[in-house]
Amino acid sequence: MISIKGLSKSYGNKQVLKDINLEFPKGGVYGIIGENGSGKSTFFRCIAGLENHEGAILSDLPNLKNELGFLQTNPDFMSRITGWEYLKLLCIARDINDDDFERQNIFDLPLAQYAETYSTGMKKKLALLGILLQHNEVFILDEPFNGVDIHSNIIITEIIRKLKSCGKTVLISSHIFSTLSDNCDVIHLLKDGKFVKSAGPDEFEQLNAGMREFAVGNSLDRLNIR
Amino acid sequence: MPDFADFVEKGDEKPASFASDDNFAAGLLKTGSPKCYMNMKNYFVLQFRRIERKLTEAGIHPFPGILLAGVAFVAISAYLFSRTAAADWIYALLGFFVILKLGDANRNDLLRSIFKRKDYYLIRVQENIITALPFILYLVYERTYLMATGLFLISIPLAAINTRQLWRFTIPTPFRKFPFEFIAGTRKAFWLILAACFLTLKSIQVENFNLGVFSLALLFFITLSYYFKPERAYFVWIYSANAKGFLRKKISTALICSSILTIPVLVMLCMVFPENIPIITGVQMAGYIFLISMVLAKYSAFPYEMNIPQAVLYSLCLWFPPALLIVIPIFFVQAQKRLNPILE
Repeated sequence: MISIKGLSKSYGNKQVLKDINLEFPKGGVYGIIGENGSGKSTFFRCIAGLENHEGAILSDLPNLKNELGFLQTNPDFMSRITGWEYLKLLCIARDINDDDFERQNIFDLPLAQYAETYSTGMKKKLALLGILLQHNEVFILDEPFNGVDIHSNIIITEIIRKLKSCGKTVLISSHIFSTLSDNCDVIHLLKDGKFVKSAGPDEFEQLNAGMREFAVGNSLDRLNIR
Repeated sequence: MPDFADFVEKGDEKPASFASDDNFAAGLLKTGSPKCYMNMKNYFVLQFRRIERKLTEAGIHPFPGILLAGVAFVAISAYLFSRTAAADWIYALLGFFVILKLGDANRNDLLRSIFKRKDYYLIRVQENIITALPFILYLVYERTYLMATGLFLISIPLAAINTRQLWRFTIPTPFRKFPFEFIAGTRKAFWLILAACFLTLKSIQVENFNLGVFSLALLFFITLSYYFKPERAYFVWIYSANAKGFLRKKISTALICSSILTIPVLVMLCMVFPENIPIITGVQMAGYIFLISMVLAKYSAFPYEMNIPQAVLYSLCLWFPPALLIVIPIFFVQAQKRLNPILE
Protein backbone atom coordinates (compact mmCIF):
# COMPACT_ATOMS: atom_id res chain seq x y z
CA MET A 1 0.00 0.00 0.00
CA ILE A 2 1.22 3.47 -0.89
CA SER A 3 -0.54 6.27 0.89
CA ILE A 4 -0.16 9.86 -0.22
CA LYS A 5 -1.14 12.56 2.22
CA GLY A 6 -1.26 16.27 1.49
CA LEU A 7 1.25 16.10 -1.35
CA SER A 8 2.05 19.51 -2.79
CA LYS A 9 4.85 20.58 -5.06
CA SER A 10 5.80 23.97 -6.44
CA TYR A 11 8.43 25.17 -8.87
CA GLY A 12 8.98 28.75 -7.81
CA ASN A 13 5.57 30.41 -7.82
CA LYS A 14 3.99 27.71 -9.95
CA GLN A 15 2.19 25.10 -7.88
CA VAL A 16 2.26 21.85 -9.86
CA LEU A 17 0.65 19.49 -7.33
CA LYS A 18 -1.99 20.71 -4.89
CA ASP A 19 -2.68 18.88 -1.66
CA ILE A 20 -3.06 15.39 -3.15
CA ASN A 21 -4.48 12.63 -0.97
CA LEU A 22 -4.62 9.22 -2.58
CA GLU A 23 -4.06 5.55 -1.80
CA PHE A 24 -2.70 2.79 -4.00
CA PRO A 25 -3.47 -0.58 -2.38
CA LYS A 26 -0.92 -3.35 -2.93
CA GLY A 27 -1.26 -5.57 -5.99
CA GLY A 28 -3.24 -3.16 -8.14
CA VAL A 29 -2.56 -1.49 -11.46
CA TYR A 30 -3.35 2.22 -11.38
CA GLY A 31 -3.52 4.54 -14.33
CA ILE A 32 -2.79 8.25 -14.17
CA ILE A 33 -4.08 10.40 -16.98
CA GLY A 34 -3.94 14.11 -17.59
CA GLU A 35 -2.99 16.72 -20.13
CA ASN A 36 0.62 17.60 -20.90
CA GLY A 37 1.94 19.61 -17.99
CA SER A 38 -0.80 18.45 -15.61
CA GLY A 39 1.86 17.16 -13.19
CA LYS A 40 1.93 13.40 -13.87
CA SER A 41 5.70 13.10 -14.09
CA THR A 42 6.19 15.39 -11.10
CA PHE A 43 3.74 13.26 -9.15
CA PHE A 44 5.75 10.15 -10.01
CA ARG A 45 9.06 11.81 -9.20
CA CYS A 46 7.69 12.87 -5.81
CA ILE A 47 6.63 9.29 -5.01
CA ALA A 48 10.06 8.06 -6.08
CA GLY A 49 11.72 10.62 -3.83
CA LEU A 50 13.44 12.39 -6.69
CA GLU A 51 11.73 15.70 -5.88
CA ASN A 52 11.42 17.63 -2.65
CA HIS A 53 7.78 18.12 -1.73
CA GLU A 54 5.34 18.95 1.01
CA GLY A 55 3.18 16.25 2.53
CA ALA A 56 3.90 12.60 3.19
CA ILE A 57 4.27 9.48 1.10
CA LEU A 58 3.79 6.44 3.29
CA SER A 59 4.20 2.78 2.51
CA ASP A 60 4.00 -0.56 4.28
CA LEU A 61 7.36 -1.44 2.73
CA PRO A 62 10.41 -0.87 4.98
CA ASN A 63 11.91 1.54 2.45
CA LEU A 64 9.75 2.26 -0.58
CA LYS A 65 12.62 3.73 -2.63
CA ASN A 66 14.61 0.53 -2.39
CA GLU A 67 11.80 -1.56 -3.81
CA LEU A 68 10.62 0.85 -6.43
CA GLY A 69 11.36 0.61 -10.13
CA PHE A 70 10.90 3.89 -11.92
CA LEU A 71 10.66 3.98 -15.71
CA GLN A 72 11.09 7.61 -16.69
CA THR A 73 9.34 9.22 -19.67
CA ASN A 74 12.62 9.78 -21.47
CA PRO A 75 15.18 7.47 -19.94
CA ASP A 76 18.69 8.60 -20.65
CA PHE A 77 21.97 6.83 -20.27
CA MET A 78 25.54 7.70 -19.54
CA SER A 79 27.67 7.96 -22.63
CA ARG A 80 29.71 4.97 -23.74
CA ILE A 81 27.91 2.44 -21.59
CA THR A 82 26.50 -0.62 -23.33
CA GLY A 83 23.02 -1.97 -22.69
CA TRP A 84 24.57 -4.91 -20.82
CA GLU A 85 26.60 -2.62 -18.58
CA TYR A 86 23.53 -0.49 -17.85
CA LEU A 87 21.63 -3.56 -16.71
CA LYS A 88 24.60 -4.60 -14.59
CA LEU A 89 24.64 -1.16 -12.94
CA LEU A 90 20.96 -1.45 -12.04
CA CYS A 91 21.53 -4.90 -10.54
CA ILE A 92 24.63 -3.85 -8.60
CA ALA A 93 22.72 -0.88 -7.22
CA ARG A 94 20.28 -3.30 -5.61
CA ASP A 95 22.92 -5.87 -4.62
CA ILE A 96 21.59 -8.37 -7.15
CA ASN A 97 24.24 -10.72 -8.43
CA ASP A 98 22.84 -11.39 -11.87
CA ASP A 99 24.44 -11.03 -15.26
CA ASP A 100 22.61 -13.55 -17.39
CA PHE A 101 21.04 -10.72 -19.31
CA GLU A 102 21.11 -12.30 -22.75
CA ARG A 103 18.66 -14.97 -21.61
CA GLN A 104 16.37 -12.39 -20.00
CA ASN A 105 16.56 -10.01 -22.96
CA ILE A 106 12.93 -10.44 -23.99
CA PHE A 107 13.03 -7.36 -26.23
CA ASP A 108 16.00 -8.67 -28.25
CA LEU A 109 17.97 -5.53 -27.56
CA PRO A 110 21.54 -5.25 -28.88
CA LEU A 111 23.07 -5.32 -25.41
CA ALA A 112 26.64 -5.07 -26.68
CA GLN A 113 25.94 -1.68 -28.24
CA TYR A 114 26.19 1.67 -26.50
CA ALA A 115 22.81 2.44 -24.95
CA GLU A 116 23.00 6.09 -26.01
CA THR A 117 22.87 4.97 -29.64
CA TYR A 118 19.57 3.13 -29.13
CA SER A 119 16.37 4.48 -30.64
CA THR A 120 13.73 6.05 -28.35
CA GLY A 121 11.76 2.82 -28.12
CA MET A 122 14.85 0.70 -27.50
CA LYS A 123 15.93 3.03 -24.71
CA LYS A 124 12.55 2.66 -23.09
CA LYS A 125 12.68 -1.12 -23.37
CA LEU A 126 16.19 -1.23 -21.91
CA ALA A 127 15.15 0.95 -18.97
CA LEU A 128 12.07 -1.23 -18.41
CA LEU A 129 14.14 -4.40 -18.58
CA GLY A 130 16.50 -2.88 -16.02
CA ILE A 131 13.82 -2.23 -13.41
CA LEU A 132 12.30 -5.67 -14.03
CA LEU A 133 15.65 -7.32 -13.31
CA GLN A 134 15.73 -5.50 -9.96
CA HIS A 135 12.74 -7.53 -8.69
CA ASN A 136 10.96 -4.48 -7.33
CA GLU A 137 7.68 -4.55 -5.43
CA VAL A 138 6.36 -1.29 -6.84
CA PHE A 139 6.67 -0.06 -10.42
CA ILE A 140 6.12 3.43 -11.73
CA LEU A 141 5.90 3.41 -15.50
CA ASP A 142 5.77 6.90 -16.95
CA GLU A 143 4.41 6.50 -20.47
CA PRO A 144 5.79 3.01 -21.04
CA PHE A 145 4.10 2.61 -24.42
CA ASN A 146 5.41 5.84 -25.86
CA GLY A 147 7.73 5.31 -28.84
CA VAL A 148 7.62 1.54 -28.53
CA ASP A 149 6.73 -0.72 -31.48
CA ILE A 150 3.50 -2.76 -31.60
CA HIS A 151 5.23 -6.04 -30.84
CA SER A 152 6.85 -4.60 -27.72
CA ASN A 153 3.60 -2.90 -26.74
CA ILE A 154 2.01 -6.33 -26.54
CA ILE A 155 4.93 -7.62 -24.47
CA ILE A 156 4.72 -4.64 -22.10
CA THR A 157 0.97 -5.23 -21.64
CA GLU A 158 1.67 -8.85 -20.78
CA ILE A 159 4.45 -7.80 -18.39
CA ILE A 160 2.01 -5.53 -16.54
CA ARG A 161 -0.49 -8.39 -16.27
CA LYS A 162 2.26 -10.67 -14.98
CA LEU A 163 3.33 -8.10 -12.39
CA LYS A 164 -0.26 -7.77 -11.22
CA SER A 165 -0.63 -11.53 -10.94
CA CYS A 166 2.53 -11.57 -8.80
CA GLY A 167 1.00 -9.05 -6.41
CA LYS A 168 3.16 -6.11 -7.47
CA THR A 169 1.81 -2.56 -7.42
CA VAL A 170 2.00 -0.74 -10.74
CA LEU A 171 1.39 2.94 -11.48
CA ILE A 172 1.19 3.84 -15.15
CA SER A 173 0.70 7.02 -17.07
CA SER A 174 -0.20 7.04 -20.72
CA HIS A 175 -1.73 9.32 -23.30
CA ILE A 176 -3.37 6.36 -25.03
CA PHE A 177 -6.52 5.61 -23.08
CA SER A 178 -6.92 2.06 -24.38
CA THR A 179 -3.52 1.03 -22.99
CA LEU A 180 -4.75 2.02 -19.55
CA SER A 181 -8.30 0.71 -19.79
CA ASP A 182 -6.88 -2.67 -20.86
CA ASN A 183 -4.58 -2.91 -17.84
CA CYS A 184 -5.75 -0.78 -14.94
CA ASP A 185 -7.95 -1.44 -11.93
CA VAL A 186 -8.49 2.26 -11.38
CA ILE A 187 -7.73 5.30 -13.51
CA HIS A 188 -7.15 8.66 -11.85
CA LEU A 189 -7.57 11.89 -13.77
CA LEU A 190 -5.06 14.61 -12.86
CA LYS A 191 -6.03 18.14 -13.78
CA ASP A 192 -4.30 21.36 -12.76
CA GLY A 193 -2.33 19.59 -10.05
CA LYS A 194 -5.33 17.83 -8.47
CA PHE A 195 -6.94 14.45 -8.95
CA VAL A 196 -10.43 15.35 -10.06
CA LYS A 197 -11.82 11.93 -10.86
CA SER A 198 -11.13 8.27 -10.12
CA ALA A 199 -12.82 5.62 -12.21
CA GLY A 200 -13.09 1.84 -11.91
CA PRO A 201 -13.39 -0.50 -14.95
CA ASP A 202 -17.16 -0.04 -15.23
CA GLU A 203 -16.68 3.71 -15.56
CA PHE A 204 -13.78 3.67 -18.04
CA GLU A 205 -16.02 4.07 -21.08
CA GLN A 206 -17.77 7.01 -19.50
CA LEU A 207 -14.44 8.59 -18.50
CA ASN A 208 -13.08 8.16 -22.02
CA ALA A 209 -16.20 9.67 -23.56
CA GLY A 210 -16.06 12.58 -21.15
CA MET A 211 -12.42 13.22 -21.97
CA ARG A 212 -13.07 13.01 -25.68
CA GLU A 213 -15.89 15.47 -25.35
CA PHE A 214 -13.74 17.81 -23.26
CA ALA A 215 -10.74 17.59 -25.60
CA VAL A 216 -12.45 17.63 -28.96
CA GLY A 217 -15.97 18.98 -28.48
CA ASN A 218 -16.94 20.93 -31.55
CA SER A 219 -13.41 22.18 -32.16
CA LEU A 220 -12.92 20.08 -35.30
CA ASP A 221 -15.76 21.94 -36.97
CA ARG A 222 -13.51 24.98 -37.01
CA LEU A 223 -11.07 23.14 -39.30
CA ASN A 224 -13.70 22.83 -41.99
CA ILE A 225 -12.38 19.40 -43.06
CA ARG A 226 -14.22 18.09 -46.15
CA MET B 1 25.18 39.50 -33.04
CA PRO B 2 23.49 36.12 -32.50
CA ASP B 3 24.95 33.89 -29.85
CA PHE B 4 26.80 31.54 -32.11
CA ALA B 5 29.07 30.39 -29.30
CA ASP B 6 26.21 29.03 -27.23
CA PHE B 7 24.75 27.56 -30.34
CA VAL B 8 27.92 25.62 -31.06
CA GLU B 9 28.42 24.66 -27.45
CA LYS B 10 24.95 23.38 -26.78
CA GLY B 11 24.42 21.76 -30.14
CA ASP B 12 20.82 22.92 -30.10
CA GLU B 13 18.80 23.76 -33.11
CA LYS B 14 19.71 26.92 -34.88
CA PRO B 15 18.27 29.85 -32.87
CA ALA B 16 15.80 31.99 -34.72
CA SER B 17 17.93 35.09 -34.31
CA PHE B 18 20.86 33.29 -35.83
CA ALA B 19 18.89 31.81 -38.67
CA SER B 20 17.55 35.21 -39.56
CA ASP B 21 20.93 36.88 -39.62
CA ASP B 22 21.01 37.94 -43.26
CA ASN B 23 24.69 38.78 -43.26
CA PHE B 24 25.61 35.40 -41.98
CA ALA B 25 23.33 33.57 -44.38
CA ALA B 26 24.62 35.62 -47.32
CA GLY B 27 28.16 34.70 -46.39
CA LEU B 28 27.33 31.04 -46.67
CA LEU B 29 26.01 31.34 -50.16
CA LYS B 30 29.33 31.39 -51.89
CA THR B 31 32.33 29.46 -50.67
CA GLY B 32 35.40 31.63 -50.50
CA SER B 33 33.45 34.88 -50.67
CA PRO B 34 34.73 37.76 -48.47
CA LYS B 35 31.63 37.41 -46.31
CA CYS B 36 32.35 33.75 -45.88
CA TYR B 37 35.84 34.54 -44.60
CA MET B 38 34.34 37.16 -42.32
CA ASN B 39 32.12 34.48 -40.85
CA MET B 40 35.07 32.18 -40.40
CA LYS B 41 36.85 35.01 -38.63
CA ASN B 42 33.73 35.56 -36.52
CA TYR B 43 33.81 31.91 -35.61
CA PHE B 44 37.29 32.18 -34.14
CA VAL B 45 36.51 35.49 -32.42
CA LEU B 46 33.51 33.83 -30.82
CA GLN B 47 35.58 30.86 -29.70
CA PHE B 48 37.85 33.35 -27.98
CA ARG B 49 34.80 34.99 -26.40
CA ARG B 50 33.69 31.60 -25.10
CA ILE B 51 37.01 31.20 -23.33
CA GLU B 52 36.63 34.70 -21.90
CA ARG B 53 33.11 33.90 -20.69
CA LYS B 54 34.19 30.65 -19.07
CA LEU B 55 36.96 32.44 -17.20
CA THR B 56 34.57 35.20 -16.12
CA GLU B 57 32.02 32.64 -14.93
CA ALA B 58 34.78 31.00 -12.91
CA GLY B 59 35.43 34.36 -11.26
CA ILE B 60 38.73 34.99 -13.08
CA HIS B 61 39.31 38.15 -15.12
CA PRO B 62 40.04 37.05 -18.71
CA PHE B 63 43.29 38.97 -19.23
CA PRO B 64 45.21 37.76 -16.15
CA GLY B 65 43.49 34.38 -16.57
CA ILE B 66 44.86 33.88 -20.09
CA LEU B 67 48.22 35.30 -19.06
CA LEU B 68 48.37 32.96 -16.10
CA ALA B 69 47.41 29.98 -18.27
CA GLY B 70 50.24 30.88 -20.67
CA VAL B 71 52.77 31.17 -17.84
CA ALA B 72 51.55 27.89 -16.33
CA PHE B 73 51.86 26.18 -19.72
CA VAL B 74 55.45 27.32 -20.14
CA ALA B 75 56.31 26.48 -16.51
CA ILE B 76 54.85 22.95 -16.73
CA SER B 77 56.54 22.43 -20.10
CA ALA B 78 59.91 23.54 -18.72
CA TYR B 79 59.44 21.27 -15.71
CA LEU B 80 58.52 18.32 -17.92
CA PHE B 81 61.52 18.79 -20.18
CA SER B 82 63.83 19.13 -17.19
CA ARG B 83 62.54 15.92 -15.60
CA THR B 84 62.41 13.41 -18.42
CA ALA B 85 64.22 12.68 -21.64
CA ALA B 86 60.99 11.54 -23.27
CA ALA B 87 59.28 14.90 -22.78
CA ASP B 88 59.09 15.46 -26.53
CA TRP B 89 57.09 12.25 -26.90
CA ILE B 90 54.78 13.19 -24.03
CA TYR B 91 54.37 16.62 -25.50
CA ALA B 92 53.60 15.44 -29.00
CA LEU B 93 51.09 12.90 -27.67
CA LEU B 94 49.41 15.51 -25.48
CA GLY B 95 49.10 17.83 -28.46
CA PHE B 96 47.72 14.98 -30.53
CA PHE B 97 44.99 14.18 -27.99
CA VAL B 98 44.03 17.79 -27.51
CA ILE B 99 43.56 18.11 -31.28
CA LEU B 100 41.66 14.84 -31.40
CA LYS B 101 39.20 16.29 -28.86
CA LEU B 102 38.23 18.92 -31.42
CA GLY B 103 37.00 16.15 -33.69
CA ASP B 104 33.99 15.53 -31.44
CA ALA B 105 31.06 14.55 -33.61
CA ASN B 106 28.43 16.69 -31.91
CA ARG B 107 30.15 19.99 -32.51
CA ASN B 108 31.38 19.01 -35.93
CA ASP B 109 27.97 17.90 -37.16
CA LEU B 110 26.74 21.35 -36.31
CA LEU B 111 29.66 23.07 -38.04
CA ARG B 112 29.12 20.92 -41.11
CA SER B 113 25.48 21.92 -41.23
CA ILE B 114 26.39 25.61 -41.07
CA PHE B 115 29.45 25.92 -43.29
CA LYS B 116 30.11 24.81 -46.81
CA ARG B 117 32.21 21.67 -47.06
CA LYS B 118 35.41 23.48 -48.07
CA ASP B 119 34.97 26.18 -45.42
CA TYR B 120 34.28 23.57 -42.80
CA TYR B 121 37.59 21.84 -43.50
CA LEU B 122 39.39 25.19 -43.61
CA ILE B 123 38.01 26.04 -40.18
CA ARG B 124 38.88 22.64 -38.79
CA VAL B 125 42.45 22.75 -40.13
CA GLN B 126 42.98 26.26 -38.75
CA GLU B 127 41.43 25.26 -35.46
CA ASN B 128 43.72 22.25 -35.17
CA ILE B 129 46.82 24.25 -36.03
CA ILE B 130 45.94 27.03 -33.56
CA THR B 131 45.41 24.42 -30.85
CA ALA B 132 48.65 22.61 -31.66
CA LEU B 133 50.63 25.85 -31.92
CA PRO B 134 51.66 26.22 -28.24
CA PHE B 135 52.92 22.62 -28.28
CA ILE B 136 54.69 23.09 -31.63
CA LEU B 137 56.34 26.34 -30.52
CA TYR B 138 57.62 24.81 -27.34
CA LEU B 139 58.92 21.76 -29.23
CA VAL B 140 60.72 24.15 -31.60
CA TYR B 141 62.11 26.04 -28.60
CA GLU B 142 63.44 22.75 -27.26
CA ARG B 143 64.91 22.04 -30.72
CA THR B 144 62.92 18.85 -31.19
CA TYR B 145 62.15 19.78 -34.78
CA LEU B 146 61.09 16.31 -35.87
CA MET B 147 58.33 16.13 -33.25
CA ALA B 148 57.25 19.71 -33.95
CA THR B 149 56.97 18.99 -37.68
CA GLY B 150 55.19 15.70 -37.02
CA LEU B 151 52.62 17.36 -34.77
CA PHE B 152 52.08 20.13 -37.30
CA LEU B 153 51.61 17.68 -40.15
CA ILE B 154 49.27 15.38 -38.23
CA SER B 155 47.04 18.29 -37.19
CA ILE B 156 45.98 18.77 -40.83
CA PRO B 157 44.55 15.31 -41.66
CA LEU B 158 43.02 15.17 -38.18
CA ALA B 159 40.58 17.84 -39.39
CA ALA B 160 38.84 15.08 -41.31
CA ILE B 161 38.45 12.86 -38.27
CA ASN B 162 35.04 12.63 -36.69
CA THR B 163 35.50 11.02 -33.28
CA ARG B 164 32.04 9.49 -33.28
CA GLN B 165 33.29 7.26 -36.07
CA LEU B 166 35.93 6.03 -33.66
CA TRP B 167 33.48 4.97 -30.97
CA ARG B 168 30.77 3.50 -33.15
CA PHE B 169 32.25 0.18 -32.16
CA THR B 170 32.29 -0.86 -28.53
CA ILE B 171 35.74 -0.54 -27.02
CA PRO B 172 36.23 -3.52 -24.70
CA THR B 173 37.32 -2.78 -21.14
CA PRO B 174 38.20 -5.06 -18.22
CA PHE B 175 35.67 -3.21 -16.05
CA ARG B 176 32.52 -4.72 -17.53
CA LYS B 177 31.30 -5.95 -14.17
CA PHE B 178 32.02 -2.68 -12.38
CA PRO B 179 29.85 -0.03 -14.02
CA PHE B 180 30.04 2.75 -14.75
CA GLU B 181 32.77 5.36 -14.18
CA PHE B 182 35.76 3.31 -15.27
CA ILE B 183 33.96 1.79 -18.25
CA ALA B 184 32.85 5.13 -19.68
CA GLY B 185 36.03 6.93 -18.61
CA THR B 186 38.37 4.36 -20.11
CA ARG B 187 36.50 4.47 -23.40
CA LYS B 188 36.66 8.26 -23.48
CA ALA B 189 40.35 8.38 -22.50
CA PHE B 190 41.30 5.26 -24.44
CA TRP B 191 44.10 6.98 -26.36
CA LEU B 192 45.47 8.62 -23.28
CA ILE B 193 45.69 5.27 -21.48
CA LEU B 194 47.48 3.78 -24.46
CA ALA B 195 49.87 6.73 -24.33
CA ALA B 196 50.55 6.16 -20.62
CA CYS B 197 51.25 2.48 -21.28
CA PHE B 198 53.51 3.44 -24.15
CA LEU B 199 55.44 5.72 -21.79
CA THR B 200 55.81 2.86 -19.32
CA LEU B 201 57.31 0.66 -22.01
CA LYS B 202 59.50 3.51 -23.19
CA SER B 203 60.73 4.07 -19.61
CA ILE B 204 61.66 0.40 -19.39
CA GLN B 205 63.36 0.49 -22.78
CA VAL B 206 65.49 3.54 -21.95
CA GLU B 207 65.71 2.62 -18.24
CA ASN B 208 64.31 5.97 -17.20
CA PHE B 209 62.78 5.58 -13.76
CA ASN B 210 61.28 9.08 -13.65
CA LEU B 211 59.41 8.46 -16.87
CA GLY B 212 58.10 5.17 -15.49
CA VAL B 213 56.81 6.82 -12.33
CA PHE B 214 55.33 9.61 -14.43
CA SER B 215 53.42 7.07 -16.52
CA LEU B 216 52.02 5.45 -13.37
CA ALA B 217 50.99 8.83 -11.98
CA LEU B 218 49.50 9.74 -15.36
CA LEU B 219 47.30 6.64 -15.23
CA PHE B 220 45.96 7.76 -11.86
CA PHE B 221 45.42 11.29 -13.13
CA ILE B 222 43.40 9.87 -16.02
CA THR B 223 41.22 7.91 -13.60
CA LEU B 224 40.63 11.07 -11.53
CA SER B 225 39.10 12.65 -14.62
CA TYR B 226 36.41 9.94 -14.65
CA TYR B 227 34.90 11.63 -11.61
CA PHE B 228 34.81 15.22 -12.81
CA LYS B 229 31.22 15.24 -14.02
CA PRO B 230 28.30 14.17 -11.84
CA GLU B 231 25.84 11.61 -13.17
CA ARG B 232 22.11 12.28 -13.15
CA ALA B 233 20.45 11.96 -9.75
CA TYR B 234 18.52 8.93 -11.00
CA PHE B 235 21.74 6.91 -11.16
CA VAL B 236 22.37 7.60 -7.50
CA TRP B 237 18.74 7.17 -6.51
CA ILE B 238 18.71 3.57 -7.86
CA TYR B 239 21.05 2.43 -5.09
CA SER B 240 19.47 0.66 -2.14
CA ALA B 241 22.04 2.00 0.30
CA ASN B 242 22.39 4.96 2.59
CA ALA B 243 24.90 7.69 1.80
CA LYS B 244 27.67 5.94 3.72
CA GLY B 245 27.04 2.61 2.02
CA PHE B 246 26.81 4.26 -1.38
CA LEU B 247 30.13 6.04 -0.92
CA ARG B 248 31.70 2.81 0.30
CA LYS B 249 30.51 1.04 -2.86
CA LYS B 250 31.76 3.81 -5.12
CA ILE B 251 35.15 3.94 -3.40
CA SER B 252 35.64 0.17 -3.45
CA THR B 253 34.72 0.06 -7.16
CA ALA B 254 37.19 2.88 -7.83
CA LEU B 255 39.95 1.05 -5.95
CA ILE B 256 39.31 -2.29 -7.66
CA CYS B 257 39.17 -0.76 -11.13
CA SER B 258 42.19 1.48 -10.62
CA SER B 259 44.12 -1.56 -9.40
CA ILE B 260 43.15 -3.51 -12.52
CA LEU B 261 44.43 -0.62 -14.59
CA THR B 262 47.63 0.23 -12.74
CA ILE B 263 48.92 -2.98 -11.16
CA PRO B 264 50.44 -4.34 -14.40
CA VAL B 265 52.38 -1.07 -14.72
CA LEU B 266 53.31 -1.18 -11.03
CA VAL B 267 54.59 -4.76 -11.32
CA MET B 268 56.61 -3.99 -14.45
CA LEU B 269 58.22 -0.94 -12.83
CA CYS B 270 59.01 -2.88 -9.66
CA MET B 271 60.67 -5.60 -11.70
CA VAL B 272 62.77 -3.20 -13.77
CA PHE B 273 63.58 -0.73 -10.99
CA PRO B 274 63.74 -2.95 -7.86
CA GLU B 275 65.86 -0.39 -5.99
CA ASN B 276 62.98 2.08 -6.25
CA ILE B 277 60.14 -0.18 -5.08
CA PRO B 278 59.35 2.05 -2.06
CA ILE B 279 58.90 5.09 -4.34
CA ILE B 280 56.82 3.15 -6.86
CA THR B 281 54.50 1.71 -4.21
CA GLY B 282 54.35 5.16 -2.59
CA VAL B 283 53.08 6.64 -5.87
CA GLN B 284 50.54 3.82 -6.12
CA MET B 285 49.28 4.50 -2.58
CA ALA B 286 49.15 8.24 -3.22
CA GLY B 287 47.16 7.49 -6.37
CA TYR B 288 44.62 5.50 -4.35
CA ILE B 289 44.27 8.27 -1.78
CA PHE B 290 43.78 10.94 -4.45
CA LEU B 291 41.22 8.73 -6.15
CA ILE B 292 39.26 8.28 -2.92
CA SER B 293 39.33 12.00 -2.29
CA MET B 294 38.17 12.62 -5.87
CA VAL B 295 35.17 10.32 -5.45
CA LEU B 296 34.27 12.14 -2.23
CA ALA B 297 34.87 15.54 -3.83
CA LYS B 298 32.52 14.66 -6.68
CA TYR B 299 29.67 13.73 -4.37
CA SER B 300 30.36 16.61 -1.99
CA ALA B 301 28.94 18.89 -4.67
CA PHE B 302 26.35 16.48 -6.04
CA PRO B 303 24.16 16.88 -8.09
CA TYR B 304 26.26 19.81 -9.32
CA GLU B 305 29.80 19.86 -10.60
CA MET B 306 32.53 20.67 -8.13
CA ASN B 307 32.47 24.39 -7.37
CA ILE B 308 35.49 26.65 -7.18
CA PRO B 309 36.17 26.32 -3.40
CA GLN B 310 36.05 22.53 -3.71
CA ALA B 311 38.29 22.55 -6.77
CA VAL B 312 40.73 24.88 -5.00
CA LEU B 313 40.71 22.62 -1.97
CA TYR B 314 41.42 19.62 -4.17
CA SER B 315 44.17 21.43 -6.10
CA LEU B 316 45.74 22.39 -2.80
CA CYS B 317 46.01 18.70 -1.97
CA LEU B 318 47.75 17.99 -5.27
CA TRP B 319 50.45 20.48 -4.29
CA PHE B 320 50.45 19.62 -0.60
CA PRO B 321 49.23 16.02 -0.15
CA PRO B 322 49.20 16.07 3.70
CA ALA B 323 46.23 18.45 3.39
CA LEU B 324 44.24 15.37 2.34
CA LEU B 325 44.07 14.39 6.02
CA ILE B 326 41.84 17.40 6.59
CA VAL B 327 40.17 17.58 3.19
CA ILE B 328 38.99 13.96 2.97
CA PRO B 329 36.83 14.15 6.12
CA ILE B 330 35.42 17.50 4.95
CA PHE B 331 34.47 16.04 1.57
CA PHE B 332 33.04 12.95 3.24
CA VAL B 333 30.72 14.94 5.51
CA GLN B 334 29.63 17.19 2.64
CA ALA B 335 29.03 14.18 0.38
CA GLN B 336 26.84 12.53 3.02
CA LYS B 337 24.79 15.72 3.35
CA ARG B 338 24.35 15.93 -0.42
CA LEU B 339 23.44 12.27 -0.87
CA ASN B 340 21.10 11.78 2.07
CA PRO B 341 18.09 13.51 0.48
CA ILE B 342 18.40 11.29 -2.60
CA LEU B 343 19.14 8.00 -0.92
CA GLU B 344 16.97 8.07 2.19
